[in-house]
Amino acid sequence: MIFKIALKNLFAAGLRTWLNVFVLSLTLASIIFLQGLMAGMLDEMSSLRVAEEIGGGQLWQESYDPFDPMTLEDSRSLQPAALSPLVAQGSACPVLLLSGGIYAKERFKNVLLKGVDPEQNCLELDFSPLAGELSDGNLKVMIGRHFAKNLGVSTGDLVTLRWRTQAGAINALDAEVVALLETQVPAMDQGQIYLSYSKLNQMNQTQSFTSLLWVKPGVTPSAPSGWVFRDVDYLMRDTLEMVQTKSAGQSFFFALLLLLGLIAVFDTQALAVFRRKKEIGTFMALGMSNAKVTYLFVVEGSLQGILASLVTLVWAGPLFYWSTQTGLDMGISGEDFGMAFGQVFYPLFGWGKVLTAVLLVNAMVVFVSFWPVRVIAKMSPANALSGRL
Amino acid sequence: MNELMGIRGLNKIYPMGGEAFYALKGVDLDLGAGEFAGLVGPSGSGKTTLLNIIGALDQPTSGEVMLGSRRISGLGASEAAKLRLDHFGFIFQTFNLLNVYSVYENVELPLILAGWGATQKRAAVMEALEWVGLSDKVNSRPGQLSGGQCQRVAIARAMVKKPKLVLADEPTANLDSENSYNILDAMLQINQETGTTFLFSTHDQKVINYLRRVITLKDGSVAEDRTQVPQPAEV
Repeated sequence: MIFKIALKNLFAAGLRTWLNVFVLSLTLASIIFLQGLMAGMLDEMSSLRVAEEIGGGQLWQESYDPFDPMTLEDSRSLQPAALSPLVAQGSACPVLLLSGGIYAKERFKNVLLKGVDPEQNCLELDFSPLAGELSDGNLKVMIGRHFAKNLGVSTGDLVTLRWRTQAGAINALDAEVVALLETQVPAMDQGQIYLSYSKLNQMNQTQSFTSLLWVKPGVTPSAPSGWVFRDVDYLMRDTLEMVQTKSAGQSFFFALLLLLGLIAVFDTQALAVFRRKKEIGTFMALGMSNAKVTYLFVVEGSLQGILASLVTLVWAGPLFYWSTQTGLDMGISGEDFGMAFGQVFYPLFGWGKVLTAVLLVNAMVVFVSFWPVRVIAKMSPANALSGRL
Repeated sequence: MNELMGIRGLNKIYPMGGEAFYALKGVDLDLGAGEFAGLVGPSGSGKTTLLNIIGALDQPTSGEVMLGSRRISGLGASEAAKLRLDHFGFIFQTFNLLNVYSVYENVELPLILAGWGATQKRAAVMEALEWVGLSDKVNSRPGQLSGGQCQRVAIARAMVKKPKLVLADEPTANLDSENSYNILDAMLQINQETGTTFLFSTHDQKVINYLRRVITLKDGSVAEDRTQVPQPAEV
């Protein structure tokens, strides 16, 4: 009975109802969309980093610390014999890291020389142009597309590489950029020069020296002595931390959005109690208890939340679905600010998060619907009828 | 005539600037079943206050109001609501119809609150609308009706549950003479046909002429309580 009356009042309120529903719907859609965007970003960053940087994890020489270039020389050693079967199967791919420099277009830049197996299949990156030798005897190198742009070099250009051998001698050679590396992971692009693993070992005057091994996804190797296995979770922790930080900021934004929507409902309810005093008094005179009148107003307010959820489903549902299928062109690539995602974004909408957002918005609407109408519970019918509160 | 209501030593005091203002002062009154009575007097004499207390819309400061053998002064809010639902009908000066409902739905509302079944509701609503001559307006909205028609709907709503007592607060105040006489005729007819007690609060001479009992209030006290021969107008 109360529900029927509330429904009737809700639609009879016309524009007032639809304005609130519009604001709530916009709030709900924004929350769901931003959650979807964040989930999509995390998913894409994870997928890209796994495909192009991390693989199924990495075996590190125990002294290797990617954040400490001063220890780079000490963090390479002979590839352990225990790992040879994995390498032979293609389940682990050795990488040698040397610090060096590049002289290109009359500029010098410090870089990380990375020796990789041109045939490697641990990461979804194509290093095959590094295979074989050039007829002029120059070194073959690959440079990430963005780094090449920064350096002002392109395919076919000659550059000079300088490095320090294992024995400590400084050496230099000319190299030709045989291909640009296509990757959306900035950590694999900026400041990196790729050479053949065996060639870099020759340049280092070593054989099979290795700093780390990329492991193929799905393989969990046991680390031999002097080596440690870093799994995907460990290697992704910086991304997860960044997402958590962003989520905290996002929560504040959600709260702000929610607050705006709820203020609209609160205002409507508060105004309704004053504007509809005579109606309240009439209901009471006809025999409706104060509790039931309060309940009626709360149901009316709450119905706005339900209506907003349905309206959101109708207008935003297809939009969200469309965005998951075609992606959203953000006009800027994640690489431009050091993050691993492309210009086109694919939001990810999980039912759990959508339902949580809907329930949260509706629960808050019930709460703010109740708050201003508490006064009805104490209202005398005679006062309500005469317009006094 | 059976006694419907008894009022003893009723006071209603409002604090006003640190002093006590007596809206009602020592009111004693008996109301019999089937009466067509009115509380009359100038503005501020306590008519509406007394009507509200009798209708359990307000509480007295002191004194006793009995409905039959049941004490109704001092009831809690939900008990008072139940009492109004079961025994009283109200007619207001400004009709107090709910504009979003049709005529039918306005009249049906007390029955919905009382939890009546669909068939019973329909029969009762149609009967009440026939009493007031609005059977053909069931789907109209209050906004589409004249003032007189609105008050008729209000009468039908007050009568639909066949209450013991109908309380009418200045029912003709917003009506022209013709409509006033029409609704007074309707109420008098219902009173005669159903035996429902009507108690008015009014200072309209047209209403006073219809009353069989005139209770005059002055400064919150009963100044005069007399019976008379009703003089309905020839419309």
